[in-house]
Amino acid sequence: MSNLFDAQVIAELKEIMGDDIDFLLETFAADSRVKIKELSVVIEEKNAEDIRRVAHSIKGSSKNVGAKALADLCETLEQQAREGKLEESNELLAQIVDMLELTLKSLSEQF
Amino acid sequence: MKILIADDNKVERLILCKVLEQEGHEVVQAGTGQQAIDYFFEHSPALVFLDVLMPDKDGYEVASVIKESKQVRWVPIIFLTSLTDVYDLAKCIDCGGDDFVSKPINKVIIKAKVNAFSRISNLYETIEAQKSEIQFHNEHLIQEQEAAKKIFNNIAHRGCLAAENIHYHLSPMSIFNGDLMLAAEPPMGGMRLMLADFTGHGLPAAIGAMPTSEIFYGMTKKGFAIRDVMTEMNMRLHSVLPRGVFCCVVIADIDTLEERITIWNAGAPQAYLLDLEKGDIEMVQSCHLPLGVQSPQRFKVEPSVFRFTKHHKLLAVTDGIIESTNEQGDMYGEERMLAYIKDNLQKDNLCDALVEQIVEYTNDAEQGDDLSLLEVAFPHHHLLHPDAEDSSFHAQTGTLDSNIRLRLRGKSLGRFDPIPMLLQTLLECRELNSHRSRLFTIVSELYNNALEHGVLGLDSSIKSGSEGFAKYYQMRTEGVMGLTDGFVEVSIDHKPLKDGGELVFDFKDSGSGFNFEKVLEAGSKTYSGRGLPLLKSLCEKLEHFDEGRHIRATYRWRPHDEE
Repeated sequence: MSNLFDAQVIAELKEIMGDDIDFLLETFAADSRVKIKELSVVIEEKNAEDIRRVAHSIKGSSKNVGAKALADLCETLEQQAREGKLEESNELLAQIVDMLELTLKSLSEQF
Repeated sequence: MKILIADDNKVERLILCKVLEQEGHEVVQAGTGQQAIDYFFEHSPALVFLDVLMPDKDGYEVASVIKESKQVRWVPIIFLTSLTDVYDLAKCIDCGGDDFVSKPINKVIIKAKVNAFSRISNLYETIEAQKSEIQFHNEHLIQEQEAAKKIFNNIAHRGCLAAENIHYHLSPMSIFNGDLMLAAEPPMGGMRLMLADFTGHGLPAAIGAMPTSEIFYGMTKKGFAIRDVMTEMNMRLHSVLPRGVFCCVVIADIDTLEERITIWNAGAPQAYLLDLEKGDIEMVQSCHLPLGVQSPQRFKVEPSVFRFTKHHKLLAVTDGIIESTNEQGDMYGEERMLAYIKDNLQKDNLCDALVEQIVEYTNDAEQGDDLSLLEVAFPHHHLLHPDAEDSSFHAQTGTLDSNIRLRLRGKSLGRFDPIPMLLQTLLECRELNSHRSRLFTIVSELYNNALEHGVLGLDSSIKSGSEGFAKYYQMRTEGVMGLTDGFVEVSIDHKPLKDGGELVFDFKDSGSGFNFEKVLEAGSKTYSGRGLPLLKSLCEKLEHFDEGRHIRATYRWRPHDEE
């Protein structure tokens, strides 16, 4: 758990969202899955700019829900796309997909 | 407070929205840049949170559109950004943003920012409210001034300033500079002019103009002499003007029959009497404190009398001219003015030339607005236009069938001017209104004859010398001051006839008499004519009794006689 999440953000989020936390997590799950699909498409197309943009977006939402490990993976992909290095993108995408599932599972247990 | 959030990230939006709602704000959410613009105009939020990176229109573009739309009120824009590059952050402010907060969203920081901007917004609103209040008051003030100007212009109207013998310069807002210029035709003909300058500016300076103008026109029309008008004016101003406000004045009467001018200067800059034939300039200095300063008991009017013919001109100014200052800080001054007048004596319109000269000297066209100048030549005709309003009176019998008797003795002689009173009484018979000017001439000639030549024994020939006028009137003033006995007895008998009426004027005096026939023969050209030829031409009959100590003039009038 400590590797997956930022404990402080999680605590704050609980306080802010109260009963609406479930809705937030559902939104996060749905939003992230849509974006990961988008990510797989743009990686297939080897579109560095779009990879950077989508990775950035997933990173943003992940940070908001305290999903530290997922955010870090996205940031690596974003960074490499910015530099035009696309060799590891498929490998990173696979890791991100796994990490999202792990994160979602973990989150639903915590709240 | 209504807040617009524009962020394509749903999760972020949800969290931010929740934070703001917990603080009691109403939140409108937009998921794209275009939606943000649409919602902004639809919902008129008081604050906007803008994500920098959005797929369609980014935050910079949205901010530019909002700021360029010139909202009535100020709407702060706060950027949400995960960017850390200083140039990107600076760009947020450059494109119209007011602040930025970094992501991920931190509850404490968001609350603090919202509170800070809400305070600034309130400040803006207060300023806006005060601004429109000031604007309202300012418009109100201008309206009031316009209304005041209209009222003042109606009361302090220009009288006969438009006459051909007058050139003048006066700013349209002069009344609020405290300058006042009045001109009227007295019932005996000729002209009376006054240039007044109240101390101070604005309404306090303008207030004095109302009684001043009323007294000037009212008393002049009734034939009161300068001394009586000034005494009345001083008394009124002394009682109404606040401390520190007073009125500098030059007043002048031009007598076209006797070709003389009577001038009194109280506190104003020297007036100039120009002799165009000889090239002489006589200065008439102030010889009294301004009006409104002294109590009626201490107030004393001693006007000076000068010859004034069609070769003469009077020039009066207010201190604005002399105090006009050039860029070096030097005042125009009386010396420069006198030199200029000397060099331009023959100019037809000296008034405009002087104004031009001042503007040139100060190199400031606006200074011309503060100048008041009056230039008067010899009036062309006896009366410019008959008083139109008088003809609207319905005929009234009034004093048609009456007898007035008045006997002035020693101390009252010369100090009390009975002419206005006699004339007013006669004019109670409204049908005589068109005869006002002639009646005035008859009464004043007869009275002055009785007083000056009869009681005081003055010889008109004194007036003929170059210093004659001044000398004669000096002697007259001294004479009446020293009087302890002697008398003038007046009797005016008015009786109705079938067609109009007949006035019989009997003037008796305590003098030594004179040779009536001889004086009458001497003709109108000489000053020793005692106005008798004039009287003879106005009256139906002119008789003398008691060796010239008693003169009877009979005046026949018919209704609808032309003036």
